[in-house]
Formats: sequence, structure tokens, C-alpha cells
Amino acid sequence: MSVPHPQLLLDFPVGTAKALASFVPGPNAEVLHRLQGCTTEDGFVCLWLYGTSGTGKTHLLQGVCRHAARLEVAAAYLPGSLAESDPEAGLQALRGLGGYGLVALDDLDCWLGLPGAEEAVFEVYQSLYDRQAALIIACGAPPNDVPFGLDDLASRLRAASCYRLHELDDPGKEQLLVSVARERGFELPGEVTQFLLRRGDRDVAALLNSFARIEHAALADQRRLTVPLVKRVLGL
Amino acid sequence: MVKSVWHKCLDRLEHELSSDQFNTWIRPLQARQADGGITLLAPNRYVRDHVESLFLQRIGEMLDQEGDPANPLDVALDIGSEVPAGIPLRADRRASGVRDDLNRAFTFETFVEGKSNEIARAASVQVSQNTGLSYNPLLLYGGVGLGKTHLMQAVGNAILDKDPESNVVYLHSQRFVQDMVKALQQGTMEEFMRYYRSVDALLIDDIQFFANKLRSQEEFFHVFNALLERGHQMVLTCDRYPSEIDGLEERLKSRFVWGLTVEVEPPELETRVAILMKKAELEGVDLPSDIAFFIAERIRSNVRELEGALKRVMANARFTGRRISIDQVKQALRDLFAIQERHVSIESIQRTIAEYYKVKISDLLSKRRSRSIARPRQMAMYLAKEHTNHSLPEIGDAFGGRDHTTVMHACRKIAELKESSADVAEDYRNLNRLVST
Repeated sequence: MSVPHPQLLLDFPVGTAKALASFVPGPNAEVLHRLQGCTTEDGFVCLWLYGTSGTGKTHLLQGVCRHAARLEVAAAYLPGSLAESDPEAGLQALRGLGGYGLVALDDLDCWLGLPGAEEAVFEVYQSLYDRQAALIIACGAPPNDVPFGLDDLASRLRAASCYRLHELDDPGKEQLLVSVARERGFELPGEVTQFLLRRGDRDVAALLNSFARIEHAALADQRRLTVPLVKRVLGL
Repeated sequence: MVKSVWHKCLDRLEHELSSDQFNTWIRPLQARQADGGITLLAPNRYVRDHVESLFLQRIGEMLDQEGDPANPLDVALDIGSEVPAGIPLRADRRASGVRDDLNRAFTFETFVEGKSNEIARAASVQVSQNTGLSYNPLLLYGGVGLGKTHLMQAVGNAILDKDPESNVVYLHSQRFVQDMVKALQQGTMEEFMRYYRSVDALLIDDIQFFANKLRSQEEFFHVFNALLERGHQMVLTCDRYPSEIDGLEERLKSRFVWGLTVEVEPPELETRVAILMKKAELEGVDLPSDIAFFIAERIRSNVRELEGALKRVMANARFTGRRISIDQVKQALRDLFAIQERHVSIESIQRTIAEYYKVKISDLLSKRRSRSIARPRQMAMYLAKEHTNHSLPEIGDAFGGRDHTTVMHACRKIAELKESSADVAEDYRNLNRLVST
């Protein structure tokens, strides 16, 4: 049942801070553990996280920056979308990052191939290495599968500790949905999660996208999250 | 006070903005107390301008709300960086007044010597004992990740150990270029040149990065001449023989090889094992030799990758609470091994060999026994034995159904020729690199 006058929803970004603590590890517990300790490890730390879309790379990178900042370590995060939308601006954004205690470069794939980008990443790497800081990289592929143009950068990044992020299994996805819903102020009944997992898209990115649509409809209609609502919104 | 107000603003901004916006634009800002206010330092102009146009007004409002109403804080943006907490410079470096880039852990004692690097090591030791006298400049060249930087810094550290007052400067060539650009912008070129001309020993890494940077080459040429005239030591590293660098002035190419030029080659299996055991020992980890062999047999490209793999194994052991064992290594490095297996196959080796020697793959698999075909085929078999875990009968099969004794003969032959023929040795080095990357 929908209300006669749907609630008008304004498109404000809603900050849901991505923290390491809210990451649902599933089969990725080892990398989570490594990230939790990387700001206190001795010497230079270079980690390379790879995996398909929706495995939580961005969450982990933003989470480790947050974690570092709480420990008073200056941290910077750079998304690959910057390089994609405006390559020149993306290159400028890389400058000066060598002075940080932890730098997280997301979607490295987007930076490679841009004129001057590999040299700029190399500069950041060298500065962080010299200062025994930390560099965390996320990419769709492992470093050995990435066609670097600059050998010096390739050999350095191929020596990073590499972690493949695996997709969550069903209990993991369930846990993730419940946790995301709770962050947004909803209680997600078990039957709704089960229904979503049985009938909806199963990869995490699509699942979260479905949830966002359901949440939007629930707020607009001022209804609780129920299976009928899910069916209607997703057209199942 | 200013910092705690800023932290409160951060908490609020984190909830107001999307996670991407917050992390990209707000997270890198560092707060510095300023006269009557707060200065937020951005890493570069791009972030500063973006924050200024989109977020500065809101930040100002928040500071007013969170701060002391009686003393409102002015907020300004600037480019720069505070020295981040949690990354102390080592006291010994600070005390010596040396640029903090020289890594004190890179010494001759921690360098693992093997056949692939013994000449380079001996030359470096000589240079550190007879600074400016024996070989000047000393140029170490070779592929990436083979220990050139370690040796170069070991020279610097040995010079410092002998004379802690000496002014040893280590820097990457890119840093030289950056410093020079900054000096040009700030009109301090004279100071810049005076500084570099006054050092007792100058260690410059990866000189191939000077390629196509004409002004840097010009200035470096003068620094080079000045130091050489005064008998001050220079050590340089490069990823190839200087004459092979495109975009480098001829006068620099010739000067770089005035002293002694030594190649650092990829480490052979025994050296890789020794490197692993040394690194583990330095980390206080007991690494049995059979496990070191197991890793070194599978990771062949360079020392950096070996080190990366070892760190991963140690992190996994700490996380799982398991002792380091073959099974544990297999588990920790399973993704890496799977990638390597996929990359280096007998077929990929055959393709590389065919391209390198300009022969057809079908010739490699044929019965033809002419030298022009047999030698590449033997090299391919040798590399297949080194780079894959296939048995000798499997390798023989993949080369047109040959017997495993043929593979054994091929491997013996190439091993001998590597020692006796410079051409074969060079082919092997090149192919080894091509196959591994």
C-alpha cells in the first residue's frame, strides 16, 4: 500500500563512512587483518588488492585511510574516476602525495596508459618508500597482468604484497545487506534478504544497487522493507 | 584546540558528504594552527582549488559552530604538508645531517653475494675503501630489482662509517630533476648547484630518467665535471648500458662510462635461496632451506618479487598462527603461483624464442637439426626447465615428441655454452628477462 502523497526525496549524498570495522570479511579476513596493522608495520609497506568489481576494494581503501587518520597518520585517497573524467586534473591530483603517511590509489587501471601518469605514480612510490610510509593500491588485475609502460614502476609494484579479494558467499552477502541496511537506519527482515539472494542479482555491486532502489522506494512510500515491496521495485 | 575543532568538523563532514567526496577532497587536508585561525594544507593546487570552490564555505560555517564563539577562527587554504606523525626519521640519519634518503639497512653485510653480482659487489667495496680514487664514477647497470640500489647505498653507508662527517648524498635522478625545477622556479639555481658541487660523494639512482630532460642533463653535466675534477666519488645506477639510453646526450653517455661500468645480473637459484634466508633472518624469522628453495624455484624474475613473496608468507603465518611450511607457503602464495604458471608456459617460451631468433615455432617442433634451429630449440628447452614445473618427459613431448634425454642434453649444452660463449650468455640473459615479464 502506498501513501497518497509520496515523500519528496532530495538527492543529498548520505555519508556512510567506509570503515574497516564495517567491512564484511568473508574469505578476505587476511587482507583485512593486514590493513588493520599496516600503519604500524616496520618499514615501507606496499599492498596490492585486486579482484572483480563489488569485492570491496574501494571500501577497504577508504577504510584504511580512515583507520590511519584515527591513528594520526596523514592519509590520502585517490579514485581512478579522477583520471578517467579529466586526465590532466588526475595527474595534478597525484602531485604532493609523496608527503603522506599512507596513500591509497584506487582503480590503478584507470591511471595506466595516461601520458605521464606512470612517472607520477613512480614519484609517489619513491617518496613513500624513502620515508617508509605505506602505499595501498587497488586494481582489477594482479600486477603481473597489468601492462606497465615503465619497467621501474612495474618491478616495484610487482613486488607488492598481493591480495586477491574473493566474492562473498551467500551468508557473507546476507551479513553485508543487513549491515548496510542498519547503517541506513533500516532493519532488514531475514525473509527479505533471503528473497533478494534467491531472486535478485547475485553479485555484490548489483545487490547493493538493488538495495538502494528498494530503500529509495521505502522512504518515498514510507513503508517498511517487505518482500512485496522488493517484488514491486525490482519487477520480480 | 584548533586540531580538536578540525576533528569535530571532519566527523560532521564525513556524515554530510558521500564517502568518495569525503575521502578524495577532505581526507587529505591537514590542519595547521595559524594566526587567529586555521590553515588547511592541501597536497596540490588541484585539491586546494576544488575544496575552495565546493567546500570551504561549509567548512567555515562548521568551524564557527564547533569553535569558541568568542574567538571565531579564520580558515585559509594552502598547498603543503605537515610532517605526518607516525613516520619518524631515524635518529642516526638526523644526527649525521645526511639527506634522509640513504637507507642505513643497505650495507655490504646485508647484501647477498652470488655469481650474478660478485663483480659489482667487489667494485663497490673497492670504491667505498678508496673513495674518489679507484673507480670514478662507478656505474652499476642491469635489470630492475636486482640490488643495484642496495649496492650503491652500501657504498654510501661504508663511506659514512669511515667518516661520519662526510657529506654523502643519495637521491633518485627524478628527485634531482624535481629539485632543479624547484630551484629554477624559486631563482635559487646557484645555491642548488653549489650544494651538489660541494658533496663528498654523490649517489644517483636510475640515471635513465634523465633521458629527454635536456636542462637537467645540462646541469648534471656540470655537477658531474665539478665532482670529478675534485676527486669526489660518484656512483650511478642505470637499467641498461648508458649508450643504449635514447634521449641522453652523447657527452653524458661517454662520461658515465669513464670510470668502471659493471653489470648486475639476475640471481641464480642458489643466490635467490640465500637472499630469502638472509631477508628472513633480518626479520627474525626462521626459514628452513627447503622452503627457501621451494619459493626461489618459483619466483625467478628479481629480488624485489622474492622479497614481496616472503613478506606475504610471513604476514600469512602471523595471521593464521601457522608455522612456515611448504603447505603454508602454497596457501599464502597460491594466487601468485597460479598467475606465474599462467604466464610462463612451454608455449609462451616457444613463442618468445621463435620471435627472438626469428625462426618459426613449427621449426622448433620439427625434426630439423641444423644449428640455426637446434640452438634456439635447446635454449627453449633449457628455459622451459628453469621457468616451468613440467617434467623433462613433458618438455620433450611439447617439442615434437622428443625423448627426455634430448631435453637433458639440451640443458647441459646451454649450461656449458652460457659459461664459454658471451653471445649465448647474452641471449640467455635477454630471454630470461623476456620470459619472466
